[in-house]
Amino acid sequence: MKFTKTLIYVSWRIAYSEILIKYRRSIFGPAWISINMLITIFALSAVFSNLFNMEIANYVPFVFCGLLAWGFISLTINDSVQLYINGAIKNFNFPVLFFPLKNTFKNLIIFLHNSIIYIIILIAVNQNILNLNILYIFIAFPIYILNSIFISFSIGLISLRFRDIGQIIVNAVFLIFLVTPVFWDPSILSGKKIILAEWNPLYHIIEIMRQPLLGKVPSFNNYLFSIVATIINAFLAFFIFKKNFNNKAFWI
Amino acid sequence: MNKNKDFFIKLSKVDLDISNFNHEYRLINSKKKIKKHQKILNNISLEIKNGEKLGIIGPNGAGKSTLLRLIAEIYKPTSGSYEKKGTCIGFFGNIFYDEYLLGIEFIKNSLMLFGHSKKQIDHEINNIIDFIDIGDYIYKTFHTYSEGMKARVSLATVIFAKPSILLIDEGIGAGDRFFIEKTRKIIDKILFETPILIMSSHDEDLLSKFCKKSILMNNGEIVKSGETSEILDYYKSEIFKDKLSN
Repeated sequence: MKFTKTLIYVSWRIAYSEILIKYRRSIFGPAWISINMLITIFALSAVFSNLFNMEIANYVPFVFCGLLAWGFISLTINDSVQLYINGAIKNFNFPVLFFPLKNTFKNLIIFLHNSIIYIIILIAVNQNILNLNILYIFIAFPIYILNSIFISFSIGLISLRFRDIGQIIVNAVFLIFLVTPVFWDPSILSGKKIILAEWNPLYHIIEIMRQPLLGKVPSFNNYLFSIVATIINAFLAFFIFKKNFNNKAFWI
Repeated sequence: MNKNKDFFIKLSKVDLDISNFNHEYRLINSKKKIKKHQKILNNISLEIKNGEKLGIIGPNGAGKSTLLRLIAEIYKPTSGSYEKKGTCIGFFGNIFYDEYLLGIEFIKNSLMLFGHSKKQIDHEINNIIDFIDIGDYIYKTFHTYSEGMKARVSLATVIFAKPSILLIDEGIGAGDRFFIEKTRKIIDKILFETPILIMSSHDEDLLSKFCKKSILMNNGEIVKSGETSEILDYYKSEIFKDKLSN
């Protein structure tokens, strides 16, 4: 128990240092994380609010909350690809959860940092979205953290073993971003196309975070799909752990 | 901090077979038929108790580093039983897990991972900085370090962790001659105080200095074990001569 606490503490410290150091010697420092996000929201809102005939006061919070959740998911996946490709694993037996926790905490810090924009949106765009339903994000957080740990583990080890898969995953993430309702409203879908939202687990995982931030309650289906996806991720991570974790040092 | 406790390592009939690990390691013979098994360690049994310092001698490719990595649990044995009591850390080279960490942050975080408290680290950190002696680089990120600096930081982190079982591969090849001479006393003190030390090296003086007993390895097997001087003589007279004649 004491070691688990130490591991969590050290992983958090390393994740925090990594973000600070990345922006060293920059005038705005880690504020660039949020500035980049603001620029993306501005660009997407300018183009797509007209295209989808959505009120800017509704579209800006919608796209921000979607991007906030998507940012956590996509960064976790992309960073996992390089997670174990590190000569150090050949020289030291790192605790099993060390790299997945480091990855999860780094993206959690970025997520929390970007949440500052939520306050800007409340003040400048639409304050009606804030109500008690925001408390539902506390159900979403454990689901996000667990999935991040499992995904970091699975994708990290698979990418270490099969180096081409990592590159395929990075490209796939961008394609998934386009087909998942992150910056577009799923209500524009009709007919069979509706499966892009209804059967897309990433959409449901985004919704359990986005809906509370927009002052709404996520649907039962959102939670069901998210929990099932978490269970599947856990099984995959466990299977890959049992099958491959002992051999990882041979793949460097 | 490790005194008055019983630490041990027991390896019983341990095998390490790389064909089970990775298909890329399958060897192809001249007829392009795949050989399915490549034994790296074969039937290794060892028992090392508190206070013992063991040398591992053998030619390149004998399985010395693999055995040490197996004891450090970086590799897992294919078969056989394996038991260990005590914190076990090996010095195999670079252990940097993050190129964008400051040297000082790396040392503190690593020592915490090795089980040291913040208080212990604060107490020891100035000694470690003096030992590494790389000036302001200790406050810079790793990607600005030379290979020698990285080696110094890695070595300092491992030996100041003061584990109950310390594994050293290919001697203490960190840093330049000046660094080794300057830090010799500190390194010697820590190595002598370590409850269990296992060291693989080609340096006869180093092995004779620290290790009373040694094992001789060749082709993944323990060929002989006994007093270090006896093993070194046997190595030179039998295996070394045999290799030269081939």
